[in-house]
Parts: sequence; structure tokens; C-alpha cells
Amino acid sequence: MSSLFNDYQPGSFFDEMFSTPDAAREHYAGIMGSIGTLTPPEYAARQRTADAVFLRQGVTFTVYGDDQGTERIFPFDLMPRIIPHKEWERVESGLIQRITALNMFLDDVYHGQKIINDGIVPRELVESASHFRPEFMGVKVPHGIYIHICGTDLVRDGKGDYYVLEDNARCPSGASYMLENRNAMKRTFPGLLQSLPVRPVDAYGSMLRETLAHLAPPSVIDPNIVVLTPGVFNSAYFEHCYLAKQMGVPIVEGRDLVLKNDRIFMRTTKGLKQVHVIYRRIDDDFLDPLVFRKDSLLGVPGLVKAYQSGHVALANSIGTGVADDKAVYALVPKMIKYYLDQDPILPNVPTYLGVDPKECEYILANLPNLVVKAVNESGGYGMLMGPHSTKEEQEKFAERIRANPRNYIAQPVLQLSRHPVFQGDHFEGRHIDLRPYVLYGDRIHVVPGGLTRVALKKGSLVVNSSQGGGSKDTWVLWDDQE
Amino acid sequence: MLSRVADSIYWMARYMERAENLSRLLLSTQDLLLDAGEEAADESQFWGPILMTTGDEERYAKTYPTIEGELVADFLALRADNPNSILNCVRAARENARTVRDQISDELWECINGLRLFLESPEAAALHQSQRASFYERVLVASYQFQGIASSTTPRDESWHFLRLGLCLERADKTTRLIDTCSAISFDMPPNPLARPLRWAALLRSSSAWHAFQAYSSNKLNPADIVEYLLLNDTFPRSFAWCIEAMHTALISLCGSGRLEDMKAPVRLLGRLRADIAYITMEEVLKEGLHEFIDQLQSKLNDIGASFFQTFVNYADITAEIEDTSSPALSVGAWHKAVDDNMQIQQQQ
Amino acid sequence: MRFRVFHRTRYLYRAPVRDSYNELRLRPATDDKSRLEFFLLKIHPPARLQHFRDNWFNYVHFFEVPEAHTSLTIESQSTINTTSPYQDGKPLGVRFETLKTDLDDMLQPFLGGSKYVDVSPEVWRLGIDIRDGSDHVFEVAEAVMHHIFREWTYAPNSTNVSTHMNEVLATKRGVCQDFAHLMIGICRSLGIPARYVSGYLYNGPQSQLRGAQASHAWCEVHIPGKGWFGLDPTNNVVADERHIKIATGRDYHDAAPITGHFDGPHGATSGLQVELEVRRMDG
Repeated sequence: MSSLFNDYQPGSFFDEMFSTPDAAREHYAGIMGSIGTLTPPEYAARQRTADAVFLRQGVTFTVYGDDQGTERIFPFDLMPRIIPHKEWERVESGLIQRITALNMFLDDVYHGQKIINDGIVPRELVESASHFRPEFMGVKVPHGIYIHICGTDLVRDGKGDYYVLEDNARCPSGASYMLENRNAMKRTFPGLLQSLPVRPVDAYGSMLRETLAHLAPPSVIDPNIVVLTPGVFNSAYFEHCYLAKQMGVPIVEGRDLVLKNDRIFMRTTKGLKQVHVIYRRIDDDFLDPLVFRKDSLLGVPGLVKAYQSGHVALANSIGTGVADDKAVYALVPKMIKYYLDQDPILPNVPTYLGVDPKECEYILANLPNLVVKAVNESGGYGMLMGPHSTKEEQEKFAERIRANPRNYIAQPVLQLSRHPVFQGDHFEGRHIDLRPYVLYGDRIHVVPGGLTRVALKKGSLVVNSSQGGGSKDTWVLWDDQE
Repeated sequence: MLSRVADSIYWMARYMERAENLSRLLLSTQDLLLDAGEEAADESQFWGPILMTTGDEERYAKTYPTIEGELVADFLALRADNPNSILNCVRAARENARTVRDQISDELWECINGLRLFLESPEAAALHQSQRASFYERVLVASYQFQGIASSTTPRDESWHFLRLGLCLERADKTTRLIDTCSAISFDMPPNPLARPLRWAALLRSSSAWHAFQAYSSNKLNPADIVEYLLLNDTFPRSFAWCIEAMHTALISLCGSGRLEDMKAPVRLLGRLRADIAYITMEEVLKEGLHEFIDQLQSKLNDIGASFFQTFVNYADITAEIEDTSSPALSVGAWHKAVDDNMQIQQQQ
Repeated sequence: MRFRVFHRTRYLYRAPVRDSYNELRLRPATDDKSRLEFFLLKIHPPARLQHFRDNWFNYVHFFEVPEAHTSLTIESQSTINTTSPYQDGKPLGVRFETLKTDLDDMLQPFLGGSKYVDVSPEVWRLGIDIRDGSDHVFEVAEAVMHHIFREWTYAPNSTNVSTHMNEVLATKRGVCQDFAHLMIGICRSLGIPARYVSGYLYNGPQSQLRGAQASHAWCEVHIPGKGWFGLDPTNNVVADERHIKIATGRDYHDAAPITGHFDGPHGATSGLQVELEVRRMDG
């Protein structure tokens, strides 16, 4: 065993890389034979090189709640997370199944509402979801698809089984980090990736473009596609630019777009030019001040009207947030059964709903052992990690839950799997999750890889970039027979 | 090209040029004073005009009691609360570059971002304290790099032309302001031929024109010749005439010359100015009064800048047709100031 | 062999239709020869999907769309791993007399007439000629397949979904469904249990085999003591691991991939679009 991992302790967790302190799992053999043979100082030097590349290129995100609007690099850990072929196939199947059901659910919710009328999903739950858009009832969307780009967060428990932690069906971010992490690996270890059977992820840009082009009105042969960003101050601005560049399409802000005859145009130096597909990275609330938040300066007045009239397509569609509502999440297995007549391939984490009086009682009685999440917040905000919380924090949360039970769900604390992460001069185990990206155009594509997020703080289970998380390159291996 | 993108590229180039000009101005003034002797007993005579060129006399006066080299350098180099400091110019250039990252080369972005990372580092502050000249040189070199990279990686399409417009307009503006700082000084040669007319020398050095002018003119340091050189000579790439010509060329590439009735406003304005500059004589300028003449040039430059904005970015003629969506008019424009407090934060997934 | 199948059928209606009820036989069959690794069936407009097993143990999905709609899309995806039933060779040398001793109630439905298949004297006479005195069941079935392939003309659009075997017998033209019906008829007339199979055919990137652009159909005969064996009269080949089986039955009527009805004006269906892709995942 190499000296890099001499003192590494997988501990009592499911370790992605080591089955015992002395034995790396089979799919890590390639890495152990290459990177694994470096000495700690050599490895540290490579890590510094990679960090410098990220900073110089400005691969950064903005941290909110900090008056400086500070830009930080998203810490990158060089040691890749590797997923063997068979395991990935199951993940892929599960994601295809799930995004199909979620899309059918949205189509149903905004049209016939069969699943509600059949008593599978409570009407109250849907209608109280903060991202439900009643103004969108009956609106036809291109090809009946609502979620074109989905980032579903997966975790593995102590036994290594995969679970869906949450769906991100509005504007999932992080795909650029997936691509940049791979680039950083290529630059730091030239030739290594070619020598190992790792599936490439760099087709993401062209796949995304194809997915978006599929949405254009059928009469348009060469559609004008744009990425709509809230602007440079947005935490994911780097990503918006990056993806626009990968696709070779313009990045626009709301002020670049205008409405005319129910069509959307962009202002160019040569006059107005029609836009057919908008990959919007602005939440529904800010999309159109005439329909949603009146104070929004980020959106385009009249955009919703143009969308409804079919002259411009939006990805993702409006109102998709009802599908990734954390309370609606608990019902996804039922949706899969209802629309697809199947059991979920990737199970949910058991979830207690505050809205259910019995389950709410359970939540309140077991706060120290549960993770409580506010339904309408993401990025790790509005969360109580039971075992790591103080009595006061628990009491404060209990009060909030009692005041608005619909807004809270709770889940048991999972012993998330861990992965070795470099800490200055040695490796330590850190908890990780996985966000694969699913694209739904004419067909459904799951990008073979994704963003592995790392909770860098020792013992922490929170992997969000805004909460001190980092990331890793994620390698999906080819089948030996292919 | 998106109007906003054009605007940002234009301002990115302007801010980089502004940072370069400031650095050169500070560096050359400092150099000059080092071997000036007693002529420069009154430092403020040299530092004051620098504040004039940036238009910051009032703001300066609020913070500092007297005009001294140390203080002026402090004010113009790294002060975060002076919007016109080198630091803030580079930050603004970088923010504009950031909004158009997808439109510029990675190398160009890394150059600007690298300069900004340096200026924000403790290393920069230390260097400015200990070896001021090295600090300015570092900014100058980065700016030359910027121009070199821009020139070798920017396609000769709209991006390039807007970049040139920004750079040349800023340079033309700075050159006129510099000349204006000397407009109140007597054009008479000093009685003692050995005494160096320091202010005029400073003018040449601040414009990087010292050597070029020496080669050009036999009449060493004749004030009228210097002004003529910086104003009307169309071979030196910092002269006003050269900048106007370069802008005119870029504009023609952008919208063609066309017949008079189709001609866009900025083309007309610039063409006229270019002709004026080409055919005016130094005698006429002096007769009108140097300060008055420069005042006019300044106001013409302002008109030209405004007409760029109207023509390429805001185009009021077209937007008039756009449906009234009964919402407040949204402005299209480049990044100019620090973070907006009212910025809306949306949830990201 | 491992395949990924994508099959999308889209009906377009001139005017809104309602109360649509449909049954689908689209899920590849799972048995000791083939393993279904992944399957997904998507309906648009979205509806509750349920299933039952029919008389022939086919997996039948069904759904209802009560509300008015102007299009209906049925999309299935599967990943399937197949092995050939002929791995141990063809079941040669089994005598006709064993057909009598082997008789099982389960085989009865596959010996007589059914909706599209007749066991008429005419077809029996053809069968006798082809049998030509042979006493071996599988060999005769193969001879029937060869005969149809040789004597009948593959002619797309010459028939439709409800063309009866007798018409095919007379016109000597048809497509896979018709040839399967004809072969079933001849085999049954000779006392060989025969059934209809609907499925997909992988014909490789360059192959000329017929049936890959639409769902395919062939015939299975029951060999006493050995089981069911597929023969594809359209392509004159045994049905091996490239034949992906979905449903079986007495004839098309029992195994039809999509059947259903809706309320709507006469001639409401204005368009039908089918997309089918069978992609090999290994080798």
C-alpha cells in the first residue's frame, strides 16, 4: 500500500475507496497504481497546482450573507470518486425512471390532475407548495416536458445503498464544476484519464444545446438559444457564462430582452433579434414582473405571455418547483407507481411530513435524532441537524414547525458514505453525496458522472458549496465488455 | 452582438486604459521630481494637475489636508473608497470582463483577473509602500499585456471594434485633459536656456511621448510644438488626432460609411471632428485659446460617447416601437460601480 | 446479446377525442432465454398505468384518458439481454407421432382456427405438399418457412392489420404479420401447435433483414418434449437472440402491441408516427 494512505482510517462508515483500512476497492485499482504511488509532498504539490488553476481562471461562486459579495473558489479535492459500471447503470435507470415520473406529475398537475382526483397526492399539498403556479393551469408546454435539466442529489448509506436525497427541478447548478473538475484532473495528471476506462463528460455542452434546440417552435430550423442569467452578482454567474460558452450561445440578462408581438427579442448592436429558446437560470419568481414578483428587475416583462403563446420556449418550464418541493418529494415513489406501474429503482430517504399531524408529532418528539429541513429553502439554508444541534436550536425549530408545519419535513440522519479527502499532508474520510445531471430532450440522457460534493468540515454532513463544501471529479467506468 | 456585451467590452477597454494612464502619470511625475532639484520645490504644482485630470480634486480635499506626492499616490493607487483609483478602475474593467467572459478569450480574462488579484493582495500594498515605481510598472506591463493579448486573440469583428472605441476614446479624453493641465502655463521659453521647462517635460513623459517627440522635433521642448504634437499629429498613437482617426476607422467598420442620409450619428460626429483636427492649424488653436479649444473637444467627445450608447446600446428609435409593458424602463449598461445593495438574491439549487 | 430498444408511437387526432382506453403489450417477455434489465413505459397525456396478465401470460399494461386530447403518445424503453433458444442446436428428429402423445390442454388453443387464422382444407392441402412425407416435426416446420419465403412476396402496404390469412393465401403477398399467420395456419393444419409472436428484431447496422423499422412478428412451433421454437418466415431464419420477444398468442389479435378505442368523430385519427430504434449494447 502506498504511503499516501498509510494512516488512512475508513472508520465505521461506508468508505467509497477502501473496503478495509488495507484494501482499496477493485474499481480504485487504476488510481492506486497511479496517483496512489505519489508521496504526500508530491501529491500536495499537484493539489496546489490544481487550486492555482481554478483561482486564475476565476472558477468561483459568490457567498451570500457576506457584505463583500466575496468570490471563492469551490474547493476541489483531486482524488476522484469512482463509480463502477454496474452500479452506475442502476443509478442511470433509477434517474430515468424518476425524471419521467416527475415530468408526468407536472403535466398532470397542470392539466387533468388525475393523480389528485384519484386520491394519491393530496390536493392541499400541491396547492400549498410555494412553487405551484396556478396561473399555469392548462398551459401547453413543448412536447409536454417540464423539467429538461434536472440535478438529483443522491447519497449512500452505511451499507452503500443509494438513496435520493432531493430533486432539483428548477435551476440545478453545478454542471460547470463537473466539467471544470474533469479539466483540472486532465491538466494535473496528463495522460492518466486516457489510460483508464473513464467515461467522458465533455459532451454535456452539446447535449444541453441539443436538448434546448428540441424545444424550439417546430417551424424554426435554426433556433436562437440564449442563457438568461440574473447577472454577475449571482452566485452561479461563472456557471452561466461557462455553459453559454460551451454551447456557443449568447448569455443575456433580463434587460437584454424585450417583448414585441408576443415574441421575445434581444437587443443587439444591429437591432432586435428574435429568441426562440431561453435556458433560464432565474427562478420563476423573478422571471416576469408582470406575472410574478413585481419588484423583479432581473426578468423580462411579458416573458410569460410570450411563453404561453408558444413563440418562445423556456427550460426549465414554469412551475416545476412543485415537483421538487421537499414535502411533495415524499410522494415520488407513489407517482412512480401511479404513472409507470413500477417500484422506484432508487428509493427515497424515509421522510416525515410536518403537514401530517401524526408525523409532525413524531418530528417534534425526535428532534435530536432527525434532520429537519424547511421545504422551500435550498443550498443547505434553513436546516436543523438534530444530533449536532443545541437544545435552544431545537426549541427554536420546534416553534417554527408548530407555527407552519407544512413548511417542514424531517428525515433520519443517514450515515453518509465517506471518501478520502486530502487534508494538507494526509487523507481523512469526509462525507460525500452525488449530483448527476439528467437532460430531457427528445430522449433522456444521464451524464455519466456528475458533481460529487464533499463536506469538508470534519464530521459534517452538509455538502453545499455555500456551507463550506467542496467537490471532486466523478469517474464512471466503462463496462469491461464494451 | 448583444448591445450590453458591446457596452461592456467598450467599458472594459476604457477602464484598463484609464488604469494604465493613471499609473503612467504617477510614475512619470515621481520620476521627474526625483531629479528636478529646486525647480520642484513646490510639489503641489506637479501633483495638483494629476488630480485635475481625474476630476477628483474635491473628493481629495475632503480626505487630505495638503497636496503632496505621498498622499496623491495613496489616493490614486489602492484606495478602495476612491472610485477612480487604479484598484477600482481595474476592478471595474474586471467586472465588465466578467459579464462578457463568454465573449473574450480565456487569456484576456486571465490577464485582467490576474491584475485584479494582484492589486487586492497584500503584496501589492507592500510593493506600493516600498517600491512605488515597481508597482506602477507592474500595472503598466499588465496593461500592455492586455492590449497585446487583445490584439492577438480578438477576432476582427464587432468585439474588436468596440474594444478599440473604448480604448481610443479613453485615451483621447486623457490626452486632452493632460494638455489642459498646462493650458494656463506661459508658452514662453524660460530665459535661461539651460533651465528645463519641467511641466512641459512632464506632459511629454505622461503621454509616453518623450522619445517620439525628441525624434520628431528639432525644436527641443518648445511648448507650442509639444501641444501641436500631442493634439494634431496623426502618427503618434497617443495623440488626440491619432485616437480620433482610429475611432473613425473602427466605426466605419462597424456601420459602414454609407450615404449621408443613412449615416449613423456617431459616424457623422466623428467624421466631422476628424476633418476639423486634420485641417486646423496650431495658430488657429492658440488664437481661440488652448483651454477653450480643449473644452470644445471634450464636449465633442462626450457627444460621441453618448451617441455610441444611443446607436448601439439603447437605440431609442427602435425601443420606441416596443410594447409598453407598463414597467419601469430598464437600463442597459456596463458595470461601473461597487456592489448594488438592493441586489436580489434568488435561491440556487 | 444486449439491446436497448426505444419505441414511440404517436397518434394525432383531427379533432379532440375523449374516453380513450388502451391496452399495451410492449414489455419484452422475461423467461429463461431473455432477461429484462430495464423497462419504462410513458404515456402522454399522463395517466395512471396498470397491468394484468392475459390468458397467454402476456404482460398487458392498460390506461384511460378520459379528458379531451388531440394526440396520444406511447413511449417504451427497454434494456434486454437475450440468448438464443437454439444454443443446443435445432430440435431435429422429433417424430409426428409424439405430437399425439404430448397433447396438453395448454396447447389446444394453438391447434385450431382463431380470429385471423383458418385451418381450412385448402391450407391443409398446401401443408401436405410441403411436408412431402417427412416424419420430423421441426424439419417440416422449417420447410414451411422456406416455402413461404420462397413463394410469397414481401410487399409493404399490400395488406393491413386486419388482413385474414385466407387473403394472404390467395394473393401470395404480405408483410411479417401475414407470413406469421400463414405459417401458423399451415403448421396447425398439420397438427403442429403454432403461435404468433410479436417483438423486435435487431438486424445490425448493415443487415438487410426485414422488420427492423417497425415492430416485428414471427411464429413459434411447439416441439414435443423440447418446448417452443421460433421461426421467422419473413426472413427465412430461426428466431435466435436477435429476436426480442414481447407477446405471444393465437394470432395478432392476442398479441397486438397497442389496442384501444376512444370516443371521437369518424376518421378522427389524422396521423400515426412510429419511431423504433433497436441498439446493440455489447460487441
